Amino acid sequence: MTSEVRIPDPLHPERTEEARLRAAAGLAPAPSTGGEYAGFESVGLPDRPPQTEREREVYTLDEGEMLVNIGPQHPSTHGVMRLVAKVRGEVVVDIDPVLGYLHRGIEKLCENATYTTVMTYVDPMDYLSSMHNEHAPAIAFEKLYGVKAPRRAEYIRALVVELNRVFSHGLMMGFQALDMGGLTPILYAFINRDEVVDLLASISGQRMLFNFFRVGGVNFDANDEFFSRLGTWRAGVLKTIEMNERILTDNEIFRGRTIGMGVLSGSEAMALGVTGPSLRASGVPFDVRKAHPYSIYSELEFEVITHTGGDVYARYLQRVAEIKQSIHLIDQIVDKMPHGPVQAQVPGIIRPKPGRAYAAVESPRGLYSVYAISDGGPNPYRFRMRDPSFVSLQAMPKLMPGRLIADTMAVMASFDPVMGGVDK
Amino acid sequence: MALDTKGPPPDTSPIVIPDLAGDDDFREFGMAEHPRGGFHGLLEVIPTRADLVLDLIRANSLWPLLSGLSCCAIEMMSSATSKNDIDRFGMFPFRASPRQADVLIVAGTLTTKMAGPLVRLWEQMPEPKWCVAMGTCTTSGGRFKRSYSVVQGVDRLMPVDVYVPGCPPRPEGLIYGMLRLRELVLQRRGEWPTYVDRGPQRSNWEGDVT
Repeated sequence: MTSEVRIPDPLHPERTEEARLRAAAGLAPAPSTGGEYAGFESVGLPDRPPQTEREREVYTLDEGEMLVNIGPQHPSTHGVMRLVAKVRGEVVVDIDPVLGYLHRGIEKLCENATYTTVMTYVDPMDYLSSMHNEHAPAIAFEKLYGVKAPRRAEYIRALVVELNRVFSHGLMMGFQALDMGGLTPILYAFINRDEVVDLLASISGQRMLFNFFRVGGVNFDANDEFFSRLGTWRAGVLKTIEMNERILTDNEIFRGRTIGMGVLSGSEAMALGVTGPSLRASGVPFDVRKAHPYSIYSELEFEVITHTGGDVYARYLQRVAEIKQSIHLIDQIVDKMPHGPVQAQVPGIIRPKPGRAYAAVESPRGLYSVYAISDGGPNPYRFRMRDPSFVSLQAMPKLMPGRLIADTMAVMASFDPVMGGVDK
Repeated sequence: MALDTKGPPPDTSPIVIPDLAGDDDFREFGMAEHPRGGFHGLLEVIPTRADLVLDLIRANSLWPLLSGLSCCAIEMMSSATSKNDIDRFGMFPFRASPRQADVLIVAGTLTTKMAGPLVRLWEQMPEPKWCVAMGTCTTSGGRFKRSYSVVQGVDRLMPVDVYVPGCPPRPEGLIYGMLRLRELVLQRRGEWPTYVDRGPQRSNWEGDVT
């Protein structure tokens, strides 16, 4: 929280000068004047007394500070995200994410759906990683119902999940650049993404919200045509990724704006509950695929990649490294793919015995887990999702104070939040 | 869905050049006689309606508003990138400001909390303007029809010109819808031109952003 203000205050240059002189003379900082509760007029919320201490802290303005509203409609690529930034000139003092603009009541809909149709509701949650959204409920319901998916189904699941991770991380590279003003990488990222989703559409029948996983297996088998197309894709996938890398990784402007920006230490990240690539970029080797192996990940060879910087650049490098790791995993999965059925014998409407089940998967944004309670009926009694974007978003108020307002979106993009998952 | 790029059959009737009376009026402008009759030169006169020219300009530069709500926004962005290049039809520059936009593509589930800001964006757009409902969520509520927090179709809030079905529609589907919108603009069908007096603009919508 005590990040130093790097550039002088443009509105009150004498204030920082006075602070510098006081510090040089060994005096305590000058006591803050002002501190009047500002209300919500300037950012358009209904005026009401603050409900929490945090709200009072954000919406109380010192002298020279003002509130700036960002969103929910804005040119960056994070959907209907809204931030209220408290700024002094160009410097962010505090930041407050306002959520709920995409709240669709998915948990409640899932509790009124049968176990199979839950898959259609969790799909649009984190819409860049729909396969992961379906994976965790599938595992949880299989635990509840006491059925195991056939081995070929598990391999196909791992295959489509890793394909999904490739295009999700690839898009993050593009979004990161787009939010900092570079248009070109998003074009390469979407070339890669369109290839992958066409591949996934050829196996699942849908381009984006796949509805592919079933309780006890997957919907369709992977045929020879699919593997043929997969091989074609595999031969050329690194071309677009490396093109983006060439544009970004050694780019002087990109490095200058990202190195040292938004540094999140490992202990801070763990205290906030940040998981996934953002946590591993801070040097903590936690990967659900390795720590709590699910599906077939215990049979595959891979190392947990970490970076030590903890800044935006490290989070970017972490994604790039994980794309290559996922491609490596896809190679292994295709080599080991067994033959056999892809769907266990499961009726259309299942009624598991009363009980509880928890399942966690490593989504491209971190630990995505579901918790399902069955009361013996055809619907889950309670169905709860833990989405990693929601948890990552709370790192923003920790990282932004003292930084420029133009860097807000760069730090935001480095966590790669998807608002469908945040608001559910 | 196959993309219909053919359109109506081309007009193959021979060009009829009107026999203009008062030839001297044209010669004095420095125009020469055309071998097939009539005149040509620096000052070619095209008698037409101003509205026709304006409609051609409007239909060939439909600039959408950059406002993605959820999943469909990714397919909308995909339609703007290299593979499905919507720029071919003059629809690429997604404007971030509603003052510069002609088309509002409502891409994604519209929730009750987002409804206020979206209506405000729609009212900020200058006339003439069009609305495209992309995906089943915006058409009818789609898979979230039974949800307590989802607006069941944006046509409850604003006039919609083109509905693009799909969950989400393919980028080709969106392009097809935008081409249908272009026909609609040229033929002056749909919700335009309707200069309805909407009364004073709402300013205190709950959850509104000012």
